[in-house]
Parts: sequence; C-alpha cells; structure tokens
Amino acid sequence: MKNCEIVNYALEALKNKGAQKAQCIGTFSTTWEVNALAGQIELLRTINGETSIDMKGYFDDKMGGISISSSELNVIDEAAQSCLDNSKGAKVDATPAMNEEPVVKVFGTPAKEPDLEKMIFRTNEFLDKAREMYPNVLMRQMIVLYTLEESIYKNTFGVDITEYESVYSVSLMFSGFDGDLNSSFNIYGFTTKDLDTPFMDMALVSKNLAQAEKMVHTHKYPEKVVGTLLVTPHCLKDFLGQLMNAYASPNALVGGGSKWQNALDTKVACDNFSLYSKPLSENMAYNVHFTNDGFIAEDQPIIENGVLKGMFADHYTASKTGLPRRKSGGRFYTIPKGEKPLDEIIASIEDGIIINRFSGGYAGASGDLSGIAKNSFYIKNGKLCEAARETMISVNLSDLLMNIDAISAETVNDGSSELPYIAVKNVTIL
Amino acid sequence: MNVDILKPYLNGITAPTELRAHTNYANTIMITQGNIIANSQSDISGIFARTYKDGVFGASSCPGFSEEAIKTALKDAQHNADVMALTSKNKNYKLPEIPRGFMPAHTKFVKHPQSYLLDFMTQLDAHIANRYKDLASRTVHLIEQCTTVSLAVTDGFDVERVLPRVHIKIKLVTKDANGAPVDITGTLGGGGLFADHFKNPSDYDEQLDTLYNMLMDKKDGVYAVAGEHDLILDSALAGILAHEAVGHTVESDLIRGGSIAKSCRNQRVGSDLVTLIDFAHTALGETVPLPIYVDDEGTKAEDVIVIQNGILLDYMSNRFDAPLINTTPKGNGRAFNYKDEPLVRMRNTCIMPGKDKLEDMIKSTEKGYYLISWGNGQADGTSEFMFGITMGYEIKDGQLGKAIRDTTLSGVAFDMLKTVSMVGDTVKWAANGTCGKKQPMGNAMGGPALKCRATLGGR
Repeated sequence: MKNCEIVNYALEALKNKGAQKAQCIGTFSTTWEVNALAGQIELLRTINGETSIDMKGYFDDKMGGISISSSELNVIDEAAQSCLDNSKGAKVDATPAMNEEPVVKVFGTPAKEPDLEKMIFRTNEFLDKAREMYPNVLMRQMIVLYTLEESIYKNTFGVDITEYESVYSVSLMFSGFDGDLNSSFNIYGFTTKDLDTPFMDMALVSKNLAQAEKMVHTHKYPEKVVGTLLVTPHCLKDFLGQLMNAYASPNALVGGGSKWQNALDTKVACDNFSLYSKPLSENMAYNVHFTNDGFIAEDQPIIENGVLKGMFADHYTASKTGLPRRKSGGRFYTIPKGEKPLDEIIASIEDGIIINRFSGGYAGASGDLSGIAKNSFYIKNGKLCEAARETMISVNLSDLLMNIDAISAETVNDGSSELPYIAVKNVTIL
Repeated sequence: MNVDILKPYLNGITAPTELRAHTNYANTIMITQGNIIANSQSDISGIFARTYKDGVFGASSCPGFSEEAIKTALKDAQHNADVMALTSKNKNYKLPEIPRGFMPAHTKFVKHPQSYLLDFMTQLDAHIANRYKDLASRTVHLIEQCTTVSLAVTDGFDVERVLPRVHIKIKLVTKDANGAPVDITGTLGGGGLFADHFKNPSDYDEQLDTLYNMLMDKKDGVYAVAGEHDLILDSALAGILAHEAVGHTVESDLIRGGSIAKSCRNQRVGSDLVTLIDFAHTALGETVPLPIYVDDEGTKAEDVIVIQNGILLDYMSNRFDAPLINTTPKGNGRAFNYKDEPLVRMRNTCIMPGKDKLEDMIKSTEKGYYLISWGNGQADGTSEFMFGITMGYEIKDGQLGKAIRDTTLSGVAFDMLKTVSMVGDTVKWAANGTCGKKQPMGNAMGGPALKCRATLGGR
C-alpha cells in the first residue's frame, strides 16, 4: 500500500466511525545515523520505515485524537475507534481548527538513499581534521544523520498535500582541554542538502572549535555590571524560540495571557529590527510546505522595522481569539543583516559579554529570563577578553527587543535559520 | 509480544546482540480556560536490534512487531556492524561479561476509558475556576505514559518491563499591578497508574491552595538580588541538584568526554552530610517511582553509590564504557523509544536525608532565599549547573519575607556541595521529569531540603 493510500485509509476510518470532520497527517521516514563518541565512530544505525500517523476526528464537534507508529490497517482501525472513544468525554467546541478550503498539492519528489560511504568519509575526515587543527579540543559526541521523509496531510474538506524532503544534519558536542582541565561543553549543529562541503567549512563550525580551546582558562569579574550583551547567531536562535513560545505560540495566545495579545501593529522592538519566519526560503537546507492544520505554508513577517506584524496562532487559536492565523508553521527564523561589521560592534562595546550559548530557565508569561552565559567571552573597552566563568545574565524578552543597539552586517546560515549577531544594551551581567 | 517470541530469533547468533520489542504509550489532555486544547493518545511500537562487533555497534529498527520487522532489524543491525567493523579502531575490545537470567514484569498497565479521564480533567478545571475566581488564565494538563519492553539478549538478562507514570500539571496565571502576566506551575502525580494518584478532583485542595497562595505572593514579588547567597533549597530542588548538577557529570559517556568527575574519584566533592545514590529499584525500604530491574542492554540493575559522606566513589555506566572507566555495568543503559540505542541514563537519583527540620533551617538563616520550585535545569562537564527557579521567598532574620520573581540558580556542584551545612529529614521524590540527552528519558529524582551557598540571577 502506498503511503498516500494509508493516510486515505485512516481518514476514511475516522469517517466510518462517524467523524463529520477529520484530519490525518502521515509522516514516513527512514534515517541513517553515524555516531561518534570521544572522537571515535562507535555506531551505525538505520531507522527503517519510521511511521507516524496523527489522526484527529470531530464527532458532533467533540474532538478526539491519537498518534500511532504503525501503518497496519487493523492498528489504524483501532486508532479510529480510540478517536471516537476519546471524543466522548470532550466538550462541544465548534471552533474551526483546520483548513476548510480544498487544495491538492505535491511538493518535491522522492529522494534517494544517502551516500553512506561519503557520510562515513566526511565524519572521519572531520574528526581527523579537528584533531589536527584543534589538538586541545575533545569531540565528545558527533551525530551525522540523513533523513528522507514523505509527509502527507489530508482532511475531510478536500485538503490533500504531500511533501518530500531529505536533509543531512550534523550535531557536535565538544570542549577544550588543557591537561586535566576542561572547558564547558559547547553544542553546535547545522543542516545541509548535500555532502559536497567538508563539515569543518560549514557555518561557524571552525570558529566554535577555535574558541573552545580558549575557554579552558576562565575568569569571573567580581562586580555586577549593566552592560552590552552581544548575542551570536546560534544563541540568538535559542532566544527567538523562547520569545515566540512565551508571547506568540498557540498556548500563550489561547489563554489570553500573552504580552503580545493586543500588540499587533504596535512597536515591540527597536526600529531597525525585523524578524521573519521563512519555511520556504531557498536559503534553507530543507523546507516545510504545509502547516499542521492543513494550510499551504508561506513565509511570514513577525516583526518589521520594530512593529509586530504576525504571530503563530494556529487556525483554532486564531478563530478563538480573533487574531490573524499564522502563515508559516513556525521556526526558520531570518533577520536581515544590519550595517556594522561584527568587529566594529565589538570595538564599540565598553563593557559587556559575547554569549555563545545560554543555559537558563524558560521564559514565563512575563518574559523574564536569566541564566548562565556559556562558552562566552568578556568584552572590555572594545576588545574581546577572557572566557567567562559562572557569569549570569538577566533580561526581559520585551526589553531585549527594545534595547537592540546594533545588528551585524554578517549573517550566518546554519541550514534552518539565517541570523546576524545582535548587540543588546542595558543587560545585567554578574 | 514477549521474550518467548523474540528469543528464537537469536538462535545461532554468536556476536553480542540485543533484540527489543518496545512500546511507548502516552495520553495527553490539556484544558486551557475551559477549552480542550489537546485530547490525544500515542502508541509508538517497534523492534530494535543491536549487534556488537570488533569495537563497534550496528543497530537498526523497524516499526511494528511483525516477523518481517524482527528479521529486518536483526539483518540490518548485523550488516551495519559489519560495515563499521571494517574501519574500527578498537577491534580487540571485548564487552565485559554480565550475569544471565530472566526478569519478569513487576506490574501491569491499566488504561482508563478516555471519557473517564476527560471527565476528571474537566471537573478539575471547573473546580479551579470556581475556587479561584480572580485568575487571568488556567491550564490543567494530564500526561499519562507507559513504557513496555520485552528484551531478549544473547548474553545477559532477558526482561519484561512495564513502567507507567502519570502527572497533572496545573498552570495558574494572574496579572501584577502593571497588568503584566505572572504564572506558576504545580505538578501532581508520580510513578505508577492514574488510579494510584487520582480519585476525586477535590482531593487536592490543599496543594491547589498552596499553589494559588504562592501565585498571589509572586504577583507582588520582587526580583532577587543577583549574587551569591545563603540558600535553603526545598526538597524538590535537591532532586534536580542530584540529577542535573552531579548525576550528569558522573555518566560514563561524559567521563570519557572529559567530565571534571574523571579526576575527582575518591576525592571530596561535598561536605560529610552529602550522600548521593542512583537507585535501581528500591530506596529507603520502598520501591522507587521508576524501578529498573534490568536495563535495555540486559544488565541486572544495582544501585550506584555516587557520593558517600562527601567522597565521590563511583560512576554510572553502560556495558561498553564500564571497563574504560574502571567500574562495572550496573544497569544504566536505557533507551527511550523503540528506535533508540541504549544510552547511559540515570534512574532514581537521590540525595540521602539528614536530621534537620525545614523550619530550623530557615530559622538559622539570617539573610538569604528559600527556593521552592524549578522549571528546568542544565548541566555541564565542569559540574557547573543552572536551574530555572519558578518560586521562592526572601529570608530575613530567620523569617520568610517577600516572594521572588522567576530567576536562575547556578553554581559549580562540586564546590557548592561542600557548602552544604544542613540536610532535611524528609525525602520528596519527583518522577515527572524528562531528561534530554540525544533521546528524552523519564527519570525520578529525590532528596531532602538542603542549606548551602550558590548564585542567584536577578537585578
């Protein structure tokens, strides 16, 4: 049975159980993984035919859902029955929750299996090169994945979307050492469409490894300062995830407690800051063409020239709150470059820190956020200084956006985001 | 699926091989402001096989429990091991011997009808709405999970394992004087079945009142003063300290990756009052929240005494790593999903209780903070740690003062544990955590209240 037939079968099974409205999302993937620990490859893993079928049925406007990992027809039949059972205790809620306009679309074509030999070659090449170029860096873990995936969305309103994607992804965990002394570990990763480029030359890999060697011997300034936080693209991605989750996600918005609940078309950031979610950008290593409520995905602005232009309210949340529906399914953050080169930004900072990794709490509804600046360096009088130890930063996400002082002329593309460095003033550093 | 069905497929295989049938069941109900946001179950099942050859592993998985899935997973695992063995740099490395046997399941999983659970959650939501009418928003979130494993191995213990846990998270939101949202989250439940923890929605009024009162205090809360302070960590925080700040640094993969704990064995890392154990299945005379009798590599589980009276004694390890770090495998090899290989994971990690009363610990503190609950935590190979603190109070002259806003606690565990000067007499367990380390994994953690010094973020 073809995958599209399996998803059709699941949708029909829900209808047969009495669902007047239903949607099914099938994801069918195979993944190959090369895994190295402590600088040595130790595992080759194949995840065959991974299947996920998310079924959601509305029975007299009562919703029941289930997710299964099998495409066997009897399992799907049981799952449809579970949806019906699940719906029985649910409240009647007629709020629209999926695309009700018919659309049939196929994106991409089925991809080939990986060049496994080249995956292993590139992994060994990278490990050898890292040892040679950065002898004081220990590669704690390296994971290289190739995933090929077919995703299918179907609902009872005639929405039928198929997407084929394949992507390599690499994640690295490493630390610097000097004898028995070790630095904090750093984590860095990227995604790529092919294996044409050695991993050492991708995104900021080499720069991060070089920095790790300088992080073994750390320093802590005794005094608290209110200074400038220079956020690297990698760390900025983390902050943006926290920002959107706290202020702009369906969960934040549906309860009515988000700080951005009534902030559309108002100023929420400094004038020169814009933020987009671009799941269809050619600059990304892979794309996501539909949302999980059955709409064709589009690139969308979130903030333009400091003004809030969009959030991630799904169709249900949008219907419930009156907010506009999201156009993208989320993530794929893009921030246009600024005018100042990074070196000039650093030279202009009197007192501050460049943060590579944030180890901190999750921002609650208030947007308050504090945590440790990991893999980070002090900046004093315009110059990069010692690596920071046990240094905490405290910010509020709203203040962070309003206090952006500079955006770098350089951006970094890691395959799923394209972001500059940003400098934020008036941050408490201890 | 059971071990008896899996075992014959291993006949004739001489290389160390695991064959695992694995199901993760999860049930989620989330109600926000009376709206059912989530009402779904997931049932993820499949076969995993792993073969060891010449210093490397080959692994493979297939969804479902069909004969084809079993044969494909085994064949691919052996093929992958053969491929990797060609370039292995550890060809002569042998896995350590482990005892053989069979361990049956210790419990059964019982599902309630979804309509019963929905009804319970709807009543709980209505109960909260009626009891606390001035909230800006409320969310009740049920997470019911059960992992079922049948593991057959060529050497080691075969095992049947059923591991359920259930939690209800309650998030309350209010607004402060400036109209800015302030929230707090509490968790009910633990290891075991729904019926072990939940009967009537009104049974939790005491916990709900405490949560609500803390929110009202937090609404008028102040920012903590950033810096190093005397701290009383509630027992809920001692658990995350045990897991995050210490536990991760003594996992064998981190030891091999350069963790500071590598050079601290048999050395003092805490005060005499600190003893920390990763329990397998029984602690303080009772079954722990998430008991592991045999891990996912077929190793019969034993406790790991990590720190005894302040001295670092042992590490947690999987079978491969144990000889490399001079210890024996004690059952810390655990896999999250059917497709996952076992990693070195904690089980039920706990700081042992002392003799002090919480009230006396607060009274003994002239100036500092009492920290009650946390939102997340992260560790580092340097033993530097951080926890997001979601509730706490100032302490002034031995008395609780104003509540504090969300902040972060950080320190270097092996320095901070040396400052522990009082240890509470009551252990509290939490089994709702999910640890992220390549794969997610359910863990339990526990401990008593501690008095110590560490750094708080703030303004």
